[in-house]
Amino acid sequence: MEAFFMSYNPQMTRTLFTRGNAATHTGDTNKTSLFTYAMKAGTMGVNDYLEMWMFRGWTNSANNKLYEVAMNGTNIFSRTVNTTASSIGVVTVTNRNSLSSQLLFVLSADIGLGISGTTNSTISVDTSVDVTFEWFVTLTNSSETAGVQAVVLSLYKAPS
Amino acid sequence: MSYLPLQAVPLLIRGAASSHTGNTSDTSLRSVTLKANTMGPNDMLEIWSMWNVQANNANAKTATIKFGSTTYLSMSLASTRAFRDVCHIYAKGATNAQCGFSISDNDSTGSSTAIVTSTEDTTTDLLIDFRGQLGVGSDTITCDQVAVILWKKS
Repeated sequence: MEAFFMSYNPQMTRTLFTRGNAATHTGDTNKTSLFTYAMKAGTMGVNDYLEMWMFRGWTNSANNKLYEVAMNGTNIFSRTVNTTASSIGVVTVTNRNSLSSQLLFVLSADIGLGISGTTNSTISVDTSVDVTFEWFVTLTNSSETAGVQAVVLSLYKAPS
Repeated sequence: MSYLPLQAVPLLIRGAASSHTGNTSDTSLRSVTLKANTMGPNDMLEIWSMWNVQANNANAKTATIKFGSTTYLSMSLASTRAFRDVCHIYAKGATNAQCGFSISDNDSTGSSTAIVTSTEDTTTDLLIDFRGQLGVGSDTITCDQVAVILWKKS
């Protein structure tokens, strides 16, 4: 039996970062940073949980567009898109009773829910130090466009 | 116009795995007690869970979430490896009437499953139970992660 929560504390949940103005890229095929967010050292505790909703839009064509989201250089999302135009999905990162071990769903999941033939992912990012989140796109046809329309990154503190 | 601010209250967050193997019994992998009167008549539970099966084979493996005596998720994990679910349970303006829904499709929010309704009494302690059952006892089912969030309105 796990612990249960006995009193309400608004600090148990925090919206760390929101962005509602689109950031897009076109003009070259370089891996391009759209924006970043810096999470302060120790913000995320040993059993805390990050939830990131992301709304993306891109040129609908057969050419690949690669989206990546990195947490201090380690990808927490990596998906190639082409003949669709947009998607909204969720990425979750849970500290596994440690400040430096995390569990993710499948890195390339579109919506981030449902079944997958690929096993869940684990990463090792030290959350006891400042952690930078960075959103990237890479085009294969420089005349096209790919971007992130909106992001909400929230932190849920595990009850003790 | 006045409003009550929503509060998201984590009841349980665990990222460390809990597994079952060795028999075909329906087995609790993780649970949390929703204490009496914690969930009001207009509140909502948001239950995230991540599941894993070590062998991608055709043998039956079932992931279940029970809210009191009501099953809100029953997902077959045969012939797959991982499953990510979010289950919402809404109080329907009363402390003894709820409805909700879980994911049961391939990386999408579509489903042929009907909305679940329940009449659990949230003025009493209620168990939220994450369970696994195998069709072949030598397989393994793992509840990798759970996050139970109570959205308080009232």
